[in-house]
Amino acid sequence: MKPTPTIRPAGAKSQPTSAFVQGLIAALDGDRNVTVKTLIVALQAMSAYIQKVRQDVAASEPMTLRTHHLPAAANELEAVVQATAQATHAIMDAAEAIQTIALTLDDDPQQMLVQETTRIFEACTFQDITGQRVTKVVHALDVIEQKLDVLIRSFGDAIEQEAAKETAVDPAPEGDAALLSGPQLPGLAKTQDEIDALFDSV
Amino acid sequence: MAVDKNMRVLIVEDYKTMLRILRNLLNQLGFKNIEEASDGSEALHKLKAAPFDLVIADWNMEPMTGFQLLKEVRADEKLKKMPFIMVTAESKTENVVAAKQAGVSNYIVKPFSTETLKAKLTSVLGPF
Repeated sequence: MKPTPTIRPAGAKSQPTSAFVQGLIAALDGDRNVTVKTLIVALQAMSAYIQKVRQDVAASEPMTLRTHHLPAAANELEAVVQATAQATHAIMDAAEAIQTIALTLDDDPQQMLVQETTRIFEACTFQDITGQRVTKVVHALDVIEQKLDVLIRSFGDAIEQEAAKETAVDPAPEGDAALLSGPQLPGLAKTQDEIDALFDSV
Repeated sequence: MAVDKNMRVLIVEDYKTMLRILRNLLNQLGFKNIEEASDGSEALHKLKAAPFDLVIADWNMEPMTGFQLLKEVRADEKLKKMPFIMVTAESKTENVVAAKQAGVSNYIVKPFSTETLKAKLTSVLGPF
């Protein structure tokens, strides 16, 4: 029987799992015992599976996602926020100009114009809400980047993969931080009437 | 007794767009004496430096949130009775409950209308 491969000490940097399995197969290959043959078949299947997983992970190009796609997506979203902010301020500039002109008019048209420009300002609150929603998406992209970093670091080494599971966990916020979830999605967000009812009931 | 439109109002908001909207809507309602702060710590500094009659604060700001500001204000002997309205997109039950328990005067969820703002101001300050 061939010598068994060296078993690495716990925590030591070592050969990839598939190489370890291949070494073990090679060590057992000369043995004709039925149990050992069964073990070799199982190990070969395991080795093939590990290779397949490696190929699949590599094919998904996690490094490209990490270094190109995710940063690009975050930049695009930031651009959306900036563009909508600029547009909103331009709209408000125009509304304020109309309000100034309205002051030169008689009461009735003045009131009508002020009423309509006030509606413009109310509508402009969309920019604040969309900005906060986009910020939440950017935060989600950051989390995905962190997960990819873990995947990239741990690729090919089972011990590091297990360690990465712990570092990849996003700790749940506590205390006041747990109250910072931003705007809720339409349908989930409370109406002002619901807020009022809740407020009065507390 | 009608609300004194000359009262000093402090808007605490980190989004410039919302700052401008709130200022304009308050102007339309007759309030002209308005100051701004971009987070809770700046607001607290201003509140301690000069007297104000009303605080209108967003919740989600850095480094100090509007909620932290509320707790600081309510813990300060000189400021603790200051009318304080939260204007925020945070609409979860736990947020409203926490703000109410911390002593907020009223709570407006974004987006909001001028009518809602006026109604809450009336609720906190009295009739216009």
